Amino acid sequence: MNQSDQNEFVNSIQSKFQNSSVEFDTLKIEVDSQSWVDTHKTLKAEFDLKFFNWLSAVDWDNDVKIGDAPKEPVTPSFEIISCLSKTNSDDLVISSTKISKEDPQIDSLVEVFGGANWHEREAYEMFGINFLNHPNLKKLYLPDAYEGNPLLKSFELISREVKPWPGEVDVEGMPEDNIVVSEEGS
Amino acid sequence: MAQTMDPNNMPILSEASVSVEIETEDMTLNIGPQHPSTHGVLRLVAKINGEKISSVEPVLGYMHRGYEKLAEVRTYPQVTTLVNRIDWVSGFANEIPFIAGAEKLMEIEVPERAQYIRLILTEMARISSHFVFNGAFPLEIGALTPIFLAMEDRERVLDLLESVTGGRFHPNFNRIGGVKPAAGAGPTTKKDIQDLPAGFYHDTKVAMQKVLEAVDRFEDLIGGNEVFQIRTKNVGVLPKEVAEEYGVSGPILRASGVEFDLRKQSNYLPYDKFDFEIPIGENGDCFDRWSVRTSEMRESAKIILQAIEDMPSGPIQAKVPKVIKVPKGQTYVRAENPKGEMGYYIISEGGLGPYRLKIRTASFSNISILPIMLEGALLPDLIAIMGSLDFVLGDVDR
Amino acid sequence: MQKFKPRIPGFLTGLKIVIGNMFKTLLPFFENPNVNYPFEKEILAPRTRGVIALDSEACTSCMLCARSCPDWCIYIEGHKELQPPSKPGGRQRSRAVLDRFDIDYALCMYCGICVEVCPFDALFWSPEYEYSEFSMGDMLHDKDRLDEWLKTVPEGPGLES
Repeated sequence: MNQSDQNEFVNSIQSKFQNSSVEFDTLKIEVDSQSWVDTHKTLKAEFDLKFFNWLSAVDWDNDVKIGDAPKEPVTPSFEIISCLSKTNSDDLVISSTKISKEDPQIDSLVEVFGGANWHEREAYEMFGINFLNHPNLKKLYLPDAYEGNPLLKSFELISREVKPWPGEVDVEGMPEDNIVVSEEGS
Repeated sequence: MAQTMDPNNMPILSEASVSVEIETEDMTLNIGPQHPSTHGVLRLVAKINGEKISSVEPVLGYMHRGYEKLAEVRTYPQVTTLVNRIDWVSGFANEIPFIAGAEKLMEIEVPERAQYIRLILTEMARISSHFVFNGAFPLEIGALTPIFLAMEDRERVLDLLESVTGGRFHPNFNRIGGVKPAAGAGPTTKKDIQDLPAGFYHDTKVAMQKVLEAVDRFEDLIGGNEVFQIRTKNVGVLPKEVAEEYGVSGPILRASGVEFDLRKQSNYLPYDKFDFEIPIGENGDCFDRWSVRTSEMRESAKIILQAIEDMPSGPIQAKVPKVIKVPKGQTYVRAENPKGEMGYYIISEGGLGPYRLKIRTASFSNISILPIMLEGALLPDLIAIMGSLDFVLGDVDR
Repeated sequence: MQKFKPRIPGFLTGLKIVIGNMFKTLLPFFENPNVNYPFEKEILAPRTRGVIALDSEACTSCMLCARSCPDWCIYIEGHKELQPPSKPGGRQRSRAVLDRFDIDYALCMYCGICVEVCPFDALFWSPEYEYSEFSMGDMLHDKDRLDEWLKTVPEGPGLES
């Protein structure tokens, strides 16, 4: 947890990768989708980041069926995020890349890190992203006959559609309808 | 002179028969979702040849509840109540990285007393989770006594958690900025401050003394038992490189010889003020995983006894607005949960709830090594290896 | 890490513990950790979250609890009543009257957000837990039943100095 070692690590990553930023104590680099596998090979070999933490995806869209839309308009795309870290210090790097929504595909990381197998299967079934050269790309959590990709922003949450919100019953009725003048004072 | 047989050189009588080449196919054994040893609803499709396993394929998803989708329609306090149901054995420890991430995005400084209370309750959750492990793992090996002793000692720790927070497994005690400040927002309930109740220090000291005695008793009863040692030593050895490549964390990584504990490396809670050790294993077999977790219980009890001695005074929640809106940003915060490393990647767009919440759980990465470790193992060893990994299906499936 | 050499052979340790615990449970003058439910009941901590009690006089139907429930299990309906003015010549005041306040305990997840956001001191926690029913529909507690739970709300524990 040495502060100067951490700064040295951050500086070395930032000098190698141009598109990097440190926000809220998290170091994040952005790379091109063509060099996704090469980036990870470099991170594993040169920077000693051998611990594969996780891999996931984000659906950026302006037209959302659940929750709130992003504040400023974004171009609809998928962002693939992976996280690598070390086992002798607290250094951690988050790498991200953007791919298009119409034809979502990217190379698989299974040859570089064996642990990416299950994480990529989960991203495949939740978002519909095709990972090329994956040995076993089939559904992980959902039953085989399930249709659709649940974590897309265009996928509705049925339990919130079916039941009306109990907080919306209005206490203030129209003045002619609901007011009852009570007989006894209180 | 009687002829004695040397036990190492007995003639093998079966080789005297005619050997015939028979074509056999591996049998597919479904260690199905309903099974007392799989810690929940985990299904393993195993292809076995006699008693040896040739391949194992885990089938997950029987407990998938869709946390990441549910979190997108809820506000931050509501997500906090959902999140302590992920790893239901150690309820308090699941909220900590999520709240720490939201506090980082809002740039709020947590008061010291709240950090100490969080630390004490997290270590109690760790002791509770390791008691369940010490009860359930020998039960799967075949020992029927330790589970009763473990559950009885665990009740004291759960009673302490209940007296502070109100819930044994799902405390829902963390708030953004500290811990729960008051019982309500009205004129009298605002004065009912939810700080540590009267008698807490005395009850905790008694409970921690009993925990230290219980750990000594477990080490004698379970670790000293010859049958347990034969069934767990040199069984399920996990080398360091495989563990790092697959993202295995927590006591399993430490049992394989890697000295990595987020309590010492990171600063999400003030662990640097206390004096404790980290037990490291040598071989990476099931026995080392058991002994690392049992030694961790002792260290946690020592931390709690030290924390009670010098507890600072002060407020238990920082000043936060009534309606919480987290500003735009992305961050990843991780913590050392009893089962491993748990982290939350929060992408916030300035609304009442997160835009995307990625939950990184420990057991999901921990059981991704099952297909590798179980190749060539015997069928009874499968039960010992799965028990020693100590996973919970809520953590795996979210 | 200590070496595991048992002080006495393993199975004798096991036997000692089993027989010791057996005597502890059977003979009366040892401290028996078992509680013979349903004839004896445990004493729970005052902050235990058992059931939610409602003080319907204090409720003003502001809907804050129904809106902040993560499960949408609180159903509130109310209307406004006009009352004669308190002093002659003053204006008429309107008071909110509660028609219906139901909590569906089959959906409730006992998180406590409703109790915490209520600004009028109308909801309280109580450690009662014996209200299970044979049919799920009976788990919807209406206003009168929630008023009855108010008698079981305990005094809070004092604070640690």
